[in-house]
Amino acid sequence: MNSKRRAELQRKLSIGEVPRPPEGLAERIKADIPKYLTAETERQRISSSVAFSMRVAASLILLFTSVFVTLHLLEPRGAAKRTSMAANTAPALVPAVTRYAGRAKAADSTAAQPAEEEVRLEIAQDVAGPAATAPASVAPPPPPPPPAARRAAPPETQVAASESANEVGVEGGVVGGVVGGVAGGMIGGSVQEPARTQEREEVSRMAAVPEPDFAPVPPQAVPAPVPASARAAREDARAGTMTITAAAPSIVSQAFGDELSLGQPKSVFGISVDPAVFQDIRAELQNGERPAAGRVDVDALVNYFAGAPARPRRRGVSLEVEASPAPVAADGDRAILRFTVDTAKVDVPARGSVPPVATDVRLDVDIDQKTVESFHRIGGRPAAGHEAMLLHNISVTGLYELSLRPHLKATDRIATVRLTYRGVDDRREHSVERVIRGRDLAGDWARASRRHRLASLGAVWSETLKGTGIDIDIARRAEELATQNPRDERARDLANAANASAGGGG
Amino acid sequence: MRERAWFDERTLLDAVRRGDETAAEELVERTYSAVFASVFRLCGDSDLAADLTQETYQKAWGALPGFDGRSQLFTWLYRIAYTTFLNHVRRPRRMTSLDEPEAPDVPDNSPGADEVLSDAEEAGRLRKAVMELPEDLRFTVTAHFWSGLPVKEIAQIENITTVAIRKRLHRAFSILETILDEEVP
Repeated sequence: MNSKRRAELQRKLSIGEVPRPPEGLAERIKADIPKYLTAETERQRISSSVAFSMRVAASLILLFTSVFVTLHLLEPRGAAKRTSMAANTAPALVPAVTRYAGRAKAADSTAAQPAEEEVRLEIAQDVAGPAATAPASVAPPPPPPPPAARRAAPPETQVAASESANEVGVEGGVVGGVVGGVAGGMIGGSVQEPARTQEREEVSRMAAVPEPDFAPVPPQAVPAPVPASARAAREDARAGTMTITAAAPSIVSQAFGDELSLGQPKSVFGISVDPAVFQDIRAELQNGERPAAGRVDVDALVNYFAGAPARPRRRGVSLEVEASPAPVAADGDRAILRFTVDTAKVDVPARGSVPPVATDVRLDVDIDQKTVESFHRIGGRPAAGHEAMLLHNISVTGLYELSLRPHLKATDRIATVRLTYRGVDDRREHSVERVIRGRDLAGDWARASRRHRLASLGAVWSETLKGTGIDIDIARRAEELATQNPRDERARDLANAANASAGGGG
Repeated sequence: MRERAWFDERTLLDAVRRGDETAAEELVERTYSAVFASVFRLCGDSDLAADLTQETYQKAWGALPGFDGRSQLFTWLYRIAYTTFLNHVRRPRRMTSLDEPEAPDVPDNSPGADEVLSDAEEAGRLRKAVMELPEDLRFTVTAHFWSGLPVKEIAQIENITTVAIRKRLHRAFSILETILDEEVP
């Protein structure tokens, strides 16, 4: 083989057009990232799970040992008292009877009936099983009512109150520990904590409410009107279950749902994301009216058209940065820079709160003045760089219009967008950075991603709507976008709105 | 100072190994274009290349604990991508057609249609010839010319000397020339 021919073959092997990766490929790949990436992480997860189980087992052993020792110590004194106690006390519940009998004797040796009530209370606690009493050290039950009230209150009410308190204690200990420690998530710790607190308070109220009504009534004269939730709690406890009462969540939502509800914000990073803005403007356009310029919120409209990602994230926060020539009237030196922050999607029950996904979120957009002559953020107001907290199910898009300097090189830096945040799941600080260079502006606007085209075209339309007249090119391009993907409702909305404003708004 | 946390590859990999999903996403962002380009050059089909790229990463997540970091991250990914491509080609019912490769998705400002077709035909012939090379030569040629791996890196993952790699390339050129000469009418 002669060297010339070999060089030619090398050249042919080295060159070759390679298309850009298809749109959404990166997202497809990212969607496959497993939750537990490595065996090391898996080992840590399992070992922490085993450690937790060992701690629970040790606690139980300690508890049973203590009970056993206590029994032996109190046996001679308790035996005599036990014979004078109510005859219906089950033999299996001797430890509880013994313990309460002693206490009742110390408090008031003549009050036989209250002592019996306390015995019944303890029976219910014991039937709930050792697991229900084990976490008592983690989350102590609320302080007991004064002796007088305790005596006056019907036994069922006290049982319900005590059981509920115990169950909440179990929830606080086990759920917080398991979710925070084993599953690796902080949601159980940080998000459910207020809910647990509310539940605790509400259960206390539930138990406390009937007391004034019951106080004057003799305990055995009238059956106590125990609330259904308390009754369910008592029955659950008697059945030996540890679950929180079925009525508790509904109580929380009924009592505090409105106060707790963290609905979707209408502004993120100072950028309006309120979808109702477009609905209002569309209604006006459909009525043949042109919206007043002051009512056109460009940010909100841009965010409406940008929408959510085609493939919603499962976890964390993502940053999407893209640049392209301006969609219309581009004379080569105008470009659109887009950044979009998407948070993971979760299902939120009706009237429920959207949980946070990140805290201490900072977004920096650094535009290089060496390559960009001037720029302005589409929408007018400068975006705020910081959010104390980001919730799930959020997508926020911001656009910049750039006026580029001539003779741009492919490697010239145009802008750098950086997102830093602390994840709620892992409590770690994350940093994502995207750099836009000259080569990213080499293509045509039509080759940009669909989301970018919709957002930028929507921006141009919105800004035109604020001014006078409408560029017919916008309606045409929007129509093209809608025709390319008939299932894309937002593209159809933009096409219809652009047509309506071009035809009737004038 | 908000400096990027994973400045170098090793730090990024450590973060991924710790289970940091954002680091894994950053890894994807840094490498997927190059992996896609390599696979595209192997198969000549954009959609298939995208599928194989996705499959490559699926395998990579599972193989990550075994990656010792001696070679570059991309070299390791390329090895997986290459194996994934070969597995795909060897699947009985999903054979990649090397005879009729699709024309590459060229940008609008590319040369005229006739020229593109001609280039595509030539690229197809060359690709077919490369695929007819013996396995060791084929991997060396594709890794070096289509994925830009340096000879030293290829030598490292093949566990042979750089001289041996150069000999492979030399032999590959001779065979390629013969194959291409035979095809010319």
